[in-house]
Amino acid sequence: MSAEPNAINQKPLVDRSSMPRLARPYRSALATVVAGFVLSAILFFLVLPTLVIVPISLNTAAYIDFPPQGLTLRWYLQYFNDPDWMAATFFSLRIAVATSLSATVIGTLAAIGLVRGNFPGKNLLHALSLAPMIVPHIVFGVALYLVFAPLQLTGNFFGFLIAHTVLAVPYVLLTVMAALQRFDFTLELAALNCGASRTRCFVYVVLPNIAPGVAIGAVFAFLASFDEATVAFFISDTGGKSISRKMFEDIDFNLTPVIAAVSTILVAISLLLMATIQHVKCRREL
Amino acid sequence: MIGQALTLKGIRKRYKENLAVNDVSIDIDAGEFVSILGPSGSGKTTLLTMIAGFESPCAGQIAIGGRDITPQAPNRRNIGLVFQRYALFPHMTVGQNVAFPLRMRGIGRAPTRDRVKGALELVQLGAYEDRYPDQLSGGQQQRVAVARALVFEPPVLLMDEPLGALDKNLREAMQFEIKRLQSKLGATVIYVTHDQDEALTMSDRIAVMANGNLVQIGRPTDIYQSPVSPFVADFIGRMNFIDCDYLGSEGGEGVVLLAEGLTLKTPLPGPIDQAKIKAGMAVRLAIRPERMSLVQAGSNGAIPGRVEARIFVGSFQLFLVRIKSRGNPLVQIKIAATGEMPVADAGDEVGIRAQTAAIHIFPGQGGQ
Amino acid sequence: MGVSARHYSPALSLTLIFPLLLLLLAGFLYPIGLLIKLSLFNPDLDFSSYRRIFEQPLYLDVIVRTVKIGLVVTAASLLAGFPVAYAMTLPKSRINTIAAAAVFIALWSPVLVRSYAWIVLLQRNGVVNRIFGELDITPAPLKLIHTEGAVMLAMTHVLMPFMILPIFAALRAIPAEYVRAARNLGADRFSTFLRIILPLSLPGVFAGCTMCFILAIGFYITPALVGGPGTLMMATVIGQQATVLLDWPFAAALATVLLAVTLVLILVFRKTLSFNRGFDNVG
Repeated sequence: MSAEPNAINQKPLVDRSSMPRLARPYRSALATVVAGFVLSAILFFLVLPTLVIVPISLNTAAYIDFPPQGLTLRWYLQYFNDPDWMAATFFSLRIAVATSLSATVIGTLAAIGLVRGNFPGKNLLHALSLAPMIVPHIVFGVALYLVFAPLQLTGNFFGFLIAHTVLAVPYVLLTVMAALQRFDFTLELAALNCGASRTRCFVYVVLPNIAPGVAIGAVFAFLASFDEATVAFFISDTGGKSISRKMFEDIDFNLTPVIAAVSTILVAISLLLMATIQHVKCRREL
Repeated sequence: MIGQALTLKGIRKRYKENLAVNDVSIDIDAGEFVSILGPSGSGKTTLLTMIAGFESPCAGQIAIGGRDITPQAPNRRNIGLVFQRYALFPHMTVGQNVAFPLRMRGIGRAPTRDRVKGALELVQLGAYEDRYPDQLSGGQQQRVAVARALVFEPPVLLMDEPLGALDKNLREAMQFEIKRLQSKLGATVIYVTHDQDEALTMSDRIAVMANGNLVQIGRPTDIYQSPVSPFVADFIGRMNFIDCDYLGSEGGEGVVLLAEGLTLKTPLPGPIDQAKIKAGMAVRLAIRPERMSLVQAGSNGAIPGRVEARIFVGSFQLFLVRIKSRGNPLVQIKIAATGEMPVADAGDEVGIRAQTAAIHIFPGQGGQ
Repeated sequence: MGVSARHYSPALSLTLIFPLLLLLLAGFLYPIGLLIKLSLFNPDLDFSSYRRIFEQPLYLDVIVRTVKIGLVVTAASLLAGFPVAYAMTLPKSRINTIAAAAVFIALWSPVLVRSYAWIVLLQRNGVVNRIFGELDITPAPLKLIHTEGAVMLAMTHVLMPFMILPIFAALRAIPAEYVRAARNLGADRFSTFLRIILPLSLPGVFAGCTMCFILAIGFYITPALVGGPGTLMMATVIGQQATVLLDWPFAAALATVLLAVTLVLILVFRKTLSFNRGFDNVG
């Protein structure tokens, strides 16, 4: 540092006293208000679509009407009483549950193999197993359609199951692999040292600790199937139609508030499931 | 000289129910090196945070060079701060890091370049200007942090346990460096640490804090030799504590009863404790291990005891002796190793002596 | 190679991953392989489908439009999403909880539902037009739906959470000490944001932009519902060719082009994407 006498320490190096003293707090207050306004607008934009369908579903008018004229549950009743809607709903539910089960089993086993295993091509398989998340659903959907259609396999339960399991497995893989990697490996070494065999070690020590991760993966798999619209669109037909395909068709040809009612139910299911997961995650605070 | 005086008056900070800093007042002279020493939770880091301006005190005033800075925002206080983990900006080179405060003050390119060079030369890192922080070792990052804090010549420099992450040898070298810089620049430094050795070796004065209170402030020798409470006595250096009863004063000295028929001469209670220590009350004696000596068992005026262990620590020996007084406490005696045979062995009966002047007397259990 | 407690034997590992391998081969690689084959062989090696894509102006237009919409949507998501990500990191609990809740709701509402909601909002007698009508802002209902603007708006809404989450992760990773250090060294809040927070958030920004763009060019649902004949994107054209016009080889070619572009983008930008630590950020 220079040897010159330091006049600097008498006052701050930048003389901010030249700025008008009053303007500063007002300027920052104004900036804060504007920022708050902009942020609120963006947040409103984020939730607006989800929120707007709820009053539509409860509106007495038969056409899309806003503001709603009166409250009624008739669109929900119509949904529950309509055989087509119910068929689609149960079809989707069955597939989602089956997908959840199969994806969880296949995914958990594979996750263990990928994290703990040692075999050639491990990294390649890892990348490949995440591929369904990367490939656009339209490509996969059309590819499946081109395979199923000639074989009359559209609308088939097992066709759907395979398709959705492929789409859901990456989610299970990610969550279970993360849980396995977070798991403190020295616990396993301690168990081995205490005399447990490899299998018992896994069942008594590892599995209980990764169970929440597996459960969360199962829920992700369920939603990945239940909410999925693109692939389901292409492999549905009159014999087996997913709820998303039916929604798609009705939006094009039969736009009534029943769709809003169905939408509200779908949103409620998704948000409730994810909120439960969030709650479980927070409580465990992994 | 770049340092200015720093005054803390009645600083108080409360977090919900927790009184983190309770009515702390300190006057620091320009160019002084003051350590704030205390265990974790003592409030020392909170105090530093308030001086830097990241938190406001609930009550009290902070002044630099006579100017009240309490209401000022942290970016306008012009105080140097060295963080515990350096906080070097990873996306800037060493040179850009050190130039940052000058840029914020609108100093032109040429003078900035010169001052950055000068600051880096000061910490002996002149060749590292274009490196990035993650290419530097811990000690080097430390020095860059110091350079960045000094480059704008602040009147006061705060350091928050800056050497905690370094290994022992490097820490000692850095302590020496920091002192050298401080005396060369005449900077006022407030140095927060929990390491009492560091505080003792580096400071002009030490402020000891516990539970948010300033317990004692003074020169290192005063703190070491005249601790004002058992806490301070124990926090700085090793201390032996012996509980006994105060019998009264006799000929300008105090007399305590250690056990049946065993008395000891002590200094009179200090002015603070005089009110609390009366004849018949329990008191606590504090004696440094190096101020006690081992003598033959049964010697006149010696406290009897039995050696439980003898520990060789290189330059000295440590004897753990169980003495025959109330509670049978274990005391440590520190004796310089002289190359001769050990003074006593485990199992030996011995006597312990301490000079009256080396004994500190405090109120018994319940007193601070 | 010695035996390690840490790893399972190759035999055991292969058994564990076998179901996944089978699933991927039969259920994923086979259909896609068939798709590619169909685009090339008809039954002999034939590039006519690909030539059609790149020679006919209609399809070139579609490609250009898809890229354009992708870029616009990515930029809009960045502009609108960054403040939200920043709000999610603010220490005052109310603001960041509200922001996090809004992102949560947007992210986990099914895409189909959200797209349908945009129809409800933008259609001729939809919410927006009704409100404009009540307030006499415009004389006649505006044509909002089935326009390119509607597609961009709806897609921005759908993709914003995928921009917000990586940026949030990057912002959250910035140690609070850097901000304090900058303030102590004399930077006001604006300078601190510009010189410290913004540069250090860039990995998240890049990850978010990459993800958004890749998702945008392959999107089907939203453009199909909200768009119209004048707003054809790659995905809608593919769907049309496959199910309506039944020109399967051509649909396969279009799909293969889209797939190839996606893969190339991912390979080129995989470094930025690897910042995004997968599902820990989501949900």
